[in-house]
Amino acid sequence: MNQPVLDLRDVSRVHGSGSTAVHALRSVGVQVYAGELVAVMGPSGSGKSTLLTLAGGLDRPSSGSVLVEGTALESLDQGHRARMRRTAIGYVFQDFNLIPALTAAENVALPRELDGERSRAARRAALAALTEVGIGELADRFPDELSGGQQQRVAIARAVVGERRLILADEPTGALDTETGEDILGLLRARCDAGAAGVLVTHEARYAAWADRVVFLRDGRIVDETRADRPDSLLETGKTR
Amino acid sequence: MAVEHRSGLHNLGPTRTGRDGGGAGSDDDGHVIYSVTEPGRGEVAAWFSTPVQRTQPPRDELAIKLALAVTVPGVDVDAVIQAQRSATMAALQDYTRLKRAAQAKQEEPAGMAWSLVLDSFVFAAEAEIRWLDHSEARLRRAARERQPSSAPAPASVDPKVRAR
Ligand SMILES: Nc1ncnc2c1ncn2[C@@H]1O[C@H](COP(=O)(O)OP(=O)(O)O)[C@@H](O)[C@H]1O
Ligand SMILES: [Mg+2]
Repeated sequence: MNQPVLDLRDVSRVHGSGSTAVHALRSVGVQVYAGELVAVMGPSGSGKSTLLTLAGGLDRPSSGSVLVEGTALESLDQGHRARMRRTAIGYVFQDFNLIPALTAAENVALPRELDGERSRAARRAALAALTEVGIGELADRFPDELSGGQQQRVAIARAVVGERRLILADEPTGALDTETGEDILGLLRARCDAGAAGVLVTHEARYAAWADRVVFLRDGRIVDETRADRPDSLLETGKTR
Repeated sequence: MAVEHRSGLHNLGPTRTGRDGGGAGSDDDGHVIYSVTEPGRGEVAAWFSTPVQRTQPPRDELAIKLALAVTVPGVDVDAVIQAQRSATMAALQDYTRLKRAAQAKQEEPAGMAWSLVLDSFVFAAEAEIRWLDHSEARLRRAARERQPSSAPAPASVDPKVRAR
């Protein structure tokens, strides 16, 4: 039970070789447990997106190991890795990545249908996920009929549908105004409070502050970490989380 | 009408918290009680309608510390910046946690007031971290320009990201 959902062990990623090699990540170790939201902060080029694509099995480390629920992604063949990506891991990107020709519900249902689920069951799960993120009534709209904030809610529904345990979000608030961005963070936070493990990449402190831990990246290295669960509170003893 | 007061205001001002040992001027729930006398009404209206004066920048210990760190030889400026960033980030996490707790009571005026005050803390902490990020980026660029070839190449900046 005390196994991390995501475990990056001494992970490095080098692009290219020789004098033009770029060390995007250098010996990074991060563990994320169920119920935890971890933020990764750093300037452009510090390796945030690289960390997330490795965590999600979209890219392979040059050295080190990436474990999701105890399974080393590099030990899986293509097919199993793809299945893991569809069933255990959810992604949210800055630009939403919705398919324009599909409605909100169809976008959310797609990964489940690809996984062989009957379309009626997939649609039911999609509607439940859309309702959870507060836009159940917009299920039959197309992406271009939705605001940016609504599109990002669809993307979050797609990322969480089917009880996925690892949610990876890369600058999910990048295109949104402050209040809408806070709403999106609230959704991610709620999902983690409900038991998922989350990693949020952001360069904005106000969003990173929703996390339990903030990891700072510089030039591919973790240089520092903060926690929110300090016993003292600055103002009053609020309930923890 | 309650107690007369020369300014027309009785006990209008920052809420006393338990921390300054008080409770003076507040009821059992910690609410400050104030009332406005007849002659005070105009003054209150004027106070609300006048923007708060922006005095010259207040003494900013962090700005002074960073300025000194940059000029005094032998100080690890990166470490100074990161230590402050972590500390401010931890405070920002605390404010955010309090904000989430306050969200439940937003319908009451007192809950909304508290929530807005917390927002103000969040914006201030965020601004401080952005200034630290900005300072760090400027220092790094300056260091790169000073020694164009000798330094080990830092991870190159992705131009499409930088354009943001
Ligand atoms: N496919 C790639 N080929 C070469 N270099 C890359 C590639 N992807 C990322 N990089 C480099 O790796 C470093 C880290 O990139 P990235 O993880 O995208 O940073 P961030 O998301 O923090 O902006 C950068 O220097 C970037 O230019
Ligand atoms: Mg990135």
